[in-house]
Amino acid sequence: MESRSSDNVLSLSSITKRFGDIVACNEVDFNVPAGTIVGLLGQNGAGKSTLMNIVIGLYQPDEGSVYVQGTEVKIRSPKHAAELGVSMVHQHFSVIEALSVWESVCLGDKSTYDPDSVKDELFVLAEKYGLEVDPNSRISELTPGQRQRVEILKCLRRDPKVLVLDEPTSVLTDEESAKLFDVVQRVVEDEGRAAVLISHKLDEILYATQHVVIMRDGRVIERIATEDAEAGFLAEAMVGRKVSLRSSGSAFGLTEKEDFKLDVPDIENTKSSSLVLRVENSSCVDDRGRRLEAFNLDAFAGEIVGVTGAEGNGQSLLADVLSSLVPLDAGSISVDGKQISTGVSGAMSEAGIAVIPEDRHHSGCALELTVAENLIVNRAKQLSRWGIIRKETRDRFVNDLIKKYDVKASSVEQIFGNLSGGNQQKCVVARELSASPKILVAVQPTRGLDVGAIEFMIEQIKSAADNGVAVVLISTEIGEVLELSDRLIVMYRGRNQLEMVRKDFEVEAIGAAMAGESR
Amino acid sequence: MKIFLFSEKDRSENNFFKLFDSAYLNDTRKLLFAFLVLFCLAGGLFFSGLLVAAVGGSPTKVLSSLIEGSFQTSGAFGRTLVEAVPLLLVSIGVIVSFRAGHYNIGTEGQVAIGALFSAVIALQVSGPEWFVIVLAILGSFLGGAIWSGIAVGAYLWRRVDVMISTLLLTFIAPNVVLFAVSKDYLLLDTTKSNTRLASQSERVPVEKRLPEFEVFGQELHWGVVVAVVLSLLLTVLLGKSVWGLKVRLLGANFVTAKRFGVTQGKEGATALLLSGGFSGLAGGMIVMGSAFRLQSHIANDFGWDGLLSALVSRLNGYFALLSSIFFAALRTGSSFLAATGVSRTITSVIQGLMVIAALMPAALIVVISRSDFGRKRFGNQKKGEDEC
Repeated sequence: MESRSSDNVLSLSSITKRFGDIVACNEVDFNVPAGTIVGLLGQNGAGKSTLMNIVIGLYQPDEGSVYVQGTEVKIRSPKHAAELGVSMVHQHFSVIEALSVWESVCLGDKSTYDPDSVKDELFVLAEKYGLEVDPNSRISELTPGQRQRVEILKCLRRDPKVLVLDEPTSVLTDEESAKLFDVVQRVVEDEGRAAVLISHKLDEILYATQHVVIMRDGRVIERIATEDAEAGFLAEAMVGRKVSLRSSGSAFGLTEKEDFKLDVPDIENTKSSSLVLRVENSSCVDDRGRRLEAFNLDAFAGEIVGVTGAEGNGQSLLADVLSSLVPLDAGSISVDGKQISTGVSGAMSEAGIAVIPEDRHHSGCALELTVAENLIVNRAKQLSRWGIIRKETRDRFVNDLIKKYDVKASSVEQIFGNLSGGNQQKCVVARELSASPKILVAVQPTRGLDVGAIEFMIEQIKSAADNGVAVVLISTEIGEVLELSDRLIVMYRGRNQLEMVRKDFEVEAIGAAMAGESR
Repeated sequence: MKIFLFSEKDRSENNFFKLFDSAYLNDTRKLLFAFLVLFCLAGGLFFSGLLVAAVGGSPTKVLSSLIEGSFQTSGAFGRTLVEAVPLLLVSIGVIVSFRAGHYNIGTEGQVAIGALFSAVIALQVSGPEWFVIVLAILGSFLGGAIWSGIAVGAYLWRRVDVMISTLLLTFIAPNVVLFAVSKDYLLLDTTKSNTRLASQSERVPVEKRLPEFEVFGQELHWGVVVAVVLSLLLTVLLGKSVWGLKVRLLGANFVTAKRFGVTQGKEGATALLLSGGFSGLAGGMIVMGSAFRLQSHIANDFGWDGLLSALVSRLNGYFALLSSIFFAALRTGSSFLAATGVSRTITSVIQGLMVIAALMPAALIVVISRSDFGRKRFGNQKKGEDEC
């Protein structure tokens, strides 16, 4: 058993948390020594968020105990956690745009407050930690980096012992990130404080932390001092040796490297046959700071190209370009040798590019329309006569899809938003694949799905490729990409950092490329 | 005063008007909603009664005169239906534009401009009577569409918020009409009957008005038939056609819509132009069917009431038939109220109270289903997804 001495500001011992049959955290021990930043690394679904939600009192553990500064506590709610000195900076900002900085900082205070003293307080804190931000400016005028500073100020004002940062850099530029970590470093240097940094960006874990804890499948796999760690090692530990764990192939065990080779299709052959999608020298920047820089990608019929990288390195922008949502500044995209105009409504979809989007609520469906309407938006014309959608034809088509993809809906007229997330995702997949596309772009296709749904999704992607569709799998989950791809591209700051064919797959090199190291 | 403008994102995801969308109702909520409608209308009547009693009138007498004035006396029902025509047309137009995610709230101005167009044609075009009538009606549609077209143009050119531009255009429209009816070289009535040269046009000659007919002793004009047919047609198209699906997809999620080739420029603009056109048509119906002459206040709140009627119908074209009759009844009935000795101002307060009562359920249902009690009973049976 780990030491539980009081120099650990926060200490978790044998925490177990189950959701139904799924064990999200399995006997997790986790210590945060005073004066350090501890990195918590793991893929989506590894259990990091569950663990931290226990720490801030959103969930109660089924087993195990939580110690804050050496005393055992039961954290009942986020408010209680804050009283105990555990504060979280959330991934998605919880500040209100219409308020000013000092107003958002006091939001939620019980006592009455005096604007001037709050501003003074903010000034002192800002001075101390280098978090300069004008207390009078309005949140809506701030950059993402400044908004985050406000969040942190809000936490610091309550004098926390442990600061939990949940993927804090997902919307920040590199410069802002570096600045943020300097601030956090200064915060923990104060007496008796510590911080937890949740992330799946290897480079920032290496840069900012003193210890790393790696979780996988609800367990702590590795805990080491950061100075002894390197990107390749971390990537491997994060993904694990059981690379094919997702497709029921746990029996492969240690022989996964050989396995890769067995699966490799004759890539040279397919290459000569048909190039379907070509993304050439594509560059663009959007107003959220996402960028592509001279990015290249070829996809051939029947192969799966994995596009990976730490989050925020241009993958989502690539997906948006391929969804005709964003125009390119330079470069071109062609399907079957024919150039497609970018950013033109409907052009990509017409050219045969199907997309399973990262956020289906954003660009994959319409929550207020019915299940049937969502399933036919890309083919309404074919199902209609004289401009009127023929009900019988439509219902036959929709019911076939519902059956084939095993969607659980009470009727075809059910409001789409009332379906569960997994069933919504199935509908999106059903619609996209039913249009017999030439190219399937799947973006983080398994994120947020349960185990069964993940398996289904993987099946669909594989069978699409088997049927001659060129699949572009954009995912930050290295395991998924390694398991499925025939070829992979690592993106770093919008560029091609690394390309590899399946027989050369090497987790260490991929990890290094994700952290921006070139070979 | 601060005005908060909706950003593009807020508009699609978190909009006040979505409360009025029937898609928001699930099955358990529908019952609750029906109950709330009755409850709120009863509440509206109750408070109206209190008000009447407070100024020394008799609540029962007021209620019965409201009903008499709008339905019971001879010809009253016909008058109510004629009054409902412009309301229905405005409502249908509003429904189309709201469904497309564009909030055209400038219907009042579009009604006025539509009226102007039809008056110009009816008074100044010579030709066979039926031809002039058809042309005037079509012209009123065009007029309304042009007025909303200004907002469409500003939106497409510089993304000017449609809600703001249509609203502001509303304040310009009556002045345009006033200008037209106060210049003798335009539409000013210069006949002898208008001795004081009031700002109004000549009367539309009887043979150029919408032809009338009688059913069950109620006098109606052909505009009633046109309005009902058009609104049913548009409701069916919106619900069942490819175009309708595109429009609703655009309103529900414009990002998804963009992926599938549905654009603000095409489907969005069409919906807004149609919406303006229908309001203009309402103006044409007023000039050609009941007012017979143009004045600067020709729109007479028909645009606003039609907008409310659309909201009360929860953007459902079939319910709009009913809600426009309800609002028309309030208008015709309240002209009878004056006869009970209750002052005219009280009448408009009562009208306002009834409108609030009709709009309350939509807001209440949100409040209820967000409360702990409501969540348990009426919440979506959506499976919670625990992310771990």
